[in-house]
Amino acid sequence: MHRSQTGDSDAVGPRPLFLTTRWSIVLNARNKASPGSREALESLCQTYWYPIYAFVRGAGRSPPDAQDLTQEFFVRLLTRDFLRLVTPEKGRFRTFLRTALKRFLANEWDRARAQKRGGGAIHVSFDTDLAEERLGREQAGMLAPDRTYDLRWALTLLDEAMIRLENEYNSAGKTDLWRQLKPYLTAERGSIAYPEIALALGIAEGAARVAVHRFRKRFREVFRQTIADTVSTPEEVESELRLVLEILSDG
Amino acid sequence: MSGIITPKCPQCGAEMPGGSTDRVCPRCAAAFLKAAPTEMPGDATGSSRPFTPPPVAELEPLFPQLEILELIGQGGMGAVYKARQKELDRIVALKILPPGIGDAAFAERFAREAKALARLNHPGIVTIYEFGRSNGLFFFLMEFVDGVTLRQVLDGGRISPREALAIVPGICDALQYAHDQGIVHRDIKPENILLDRRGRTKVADFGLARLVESGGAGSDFEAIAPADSSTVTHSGKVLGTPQYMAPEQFEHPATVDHRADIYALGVVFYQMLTGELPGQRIEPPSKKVRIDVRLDEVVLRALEKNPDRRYAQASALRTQVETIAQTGESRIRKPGMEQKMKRRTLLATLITGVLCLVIGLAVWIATRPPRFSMENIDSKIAQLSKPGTTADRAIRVLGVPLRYAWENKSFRKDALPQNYVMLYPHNVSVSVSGGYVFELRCEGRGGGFTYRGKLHLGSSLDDVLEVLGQPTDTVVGKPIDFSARSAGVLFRDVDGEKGRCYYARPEQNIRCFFDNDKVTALFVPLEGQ
Repeated sequence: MHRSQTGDSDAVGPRPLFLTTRWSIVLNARNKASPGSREALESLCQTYWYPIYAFVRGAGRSPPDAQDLTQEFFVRLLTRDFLRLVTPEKGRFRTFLRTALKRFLANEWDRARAQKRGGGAIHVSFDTDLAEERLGREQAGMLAPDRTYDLRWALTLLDEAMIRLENEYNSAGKTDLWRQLKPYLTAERGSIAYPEIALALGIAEGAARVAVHRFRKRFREVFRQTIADTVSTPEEVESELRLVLEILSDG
Repeated sequence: MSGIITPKCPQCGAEMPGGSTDRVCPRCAAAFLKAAPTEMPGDATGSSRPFTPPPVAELEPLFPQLEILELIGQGGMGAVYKARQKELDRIVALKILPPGIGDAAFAERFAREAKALARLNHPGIVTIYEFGRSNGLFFFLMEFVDGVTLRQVLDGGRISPREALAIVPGICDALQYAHDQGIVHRDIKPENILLDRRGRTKVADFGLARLVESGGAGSDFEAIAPADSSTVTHSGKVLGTPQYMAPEQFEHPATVDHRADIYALGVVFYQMLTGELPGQRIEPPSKKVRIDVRLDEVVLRALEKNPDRRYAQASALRTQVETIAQTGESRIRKPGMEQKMKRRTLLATLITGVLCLVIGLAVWIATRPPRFSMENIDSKIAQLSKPGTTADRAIRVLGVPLRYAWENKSFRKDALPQNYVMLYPHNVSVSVSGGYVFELRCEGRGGGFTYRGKLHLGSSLDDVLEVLGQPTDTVVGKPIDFSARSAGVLFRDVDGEKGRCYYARPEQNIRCFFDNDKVTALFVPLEGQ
């Protein structure tokens, strides 16, 4: 029929909601200093700080240095310094962040310089102690830094999806339900003990089936949305999703 | 290496990497997310496909003992076809449940429930002849009822209180019988109440709500899962019909008993009398329509939120209704006379009642549009293929449409908007504008027969503008003037094909292609496109 130009509303279907994912907000608002965009970027950084911190540590920096550098990195990011960089893969937040970080480190910003800068109020906070503890627990010494970064990224993403899902259930007042259903999130269909769940929750078995189904379905949706938040076009969701799942399976 | 013990996942046994141990095993999560999601009937997100009933040709090989005639209805709980049992040479109804509804455990429950349902033998209940599974498809063979559903009657216009009072006892009877057998319907609604040509009520789909629920997709989801707007609001695809469901079906599904059916009947009764659903704060029916005020009590009692306050038995409801029907508008008589007068009035009212019912039914059967069928579709379409055919006529000839597009109201003939498409089963669509049919399309019969009424191939631009009005929005490309006349604004397709222009009303999705001022193609999309 007819082709619509970019930006024109195509009357045929509803406008896709993709434009509201965080990374796409940031990219599209690149030229305007909109508060929504900054908020989105802050939120993304807040979620994915650990792979960044770990990468800096993996590059040989001590914990105090790593802390300062990570902070400084986020400051620069949030004050739009790095978003002016033209990189071929700015499409995905994961890769963009890694590339930006590498450049940042390669420019040999040392601690002294970082301290001088100070920067404005930034709202990305992270817990270095927690990070160190986690680093200690990890087994990933053998992989290349990029791969390690990706693995940590994937794990963080998975965590984020779970947190979101749990929050959904909590804010709906369904904490009990969440607790009962969580063990069955990834269970094989045949091994789900519906009668037990039904009993524990005081509902009919049929209702328990629905609850489990919806829980798992919602997890899929939330996971997908979490991925979508880190890419810039709908097409990328599929491939990023597949990639993350591969990493999670092998890692 | 320090003495750190690496936890292992209880499900897959792999070592869980640090950081996410308290949440979920990444390997298991990945495996789960990679697997294709199982769908449930009633799933209504963009990723899952709604249940589309298989076409007749696909079903034929699965049921060699049947001649499948046509699809007569569909809903979230499956599809119904009219069929003929070859050996017995009788017409039956074949109901199939959505594929993928359940696994082996479901099959077992299906068999048990179906056996219980097959024992229901009552003139007011659609009888089940057979049930089984063919090639993974669960099915029922049932009595075929030649008539209309209460839904169709209600959609055609409100029925009179007298008719309502004649219908309700029949439903009560059926319910009482089933309840006595320990079976609760759980999904009483106008779509499940059939009225045959003789005005007898037949309740269909008994126990199916429970059966489908056991497959994992019940209707009492609201109480137990966080609000998922996609499933809740997607009308027509939600299992169970919330407006007719008793409160305890949402809140305490484990305690639901036969009184839920009484509640649902109350809703249906209310709807029959007033034409509307009860709503949050129930207004007594006598305030909305002129009926006997004693009916208020019956309806409101059936609609009690607390099941203990409702009628305990359907038969009790029936007795009340019949009493009211019999005593009609009789005045209070002297005590001595009451017995004799009662009997005489009883007889008289009964006779009048039956007569009215028979006449009334005959009249509305005659004037109500028939249910759509593909029989003689070609001649029907030929009948309608004249300029100036009205929408009314199309409905009368073709029957009641499945739904119509653009506005999600149920089909109400008098409330149709200016430009719309009516859909009948089997991809027959009728596009109407200004009350006139301007496109009548039947896909797949001889390559697609298309008729255009007021607007047709070769119509002039002026006609188009008269029928469709001025275009209201820019769609694409730059506007051009069409010849010297100020005929509104048209747009050239970006492809820039010479001489090809089109007219669009984006909000209604109509497109009209011209060549030298004559319409060459007219597109009015069906719902969902």
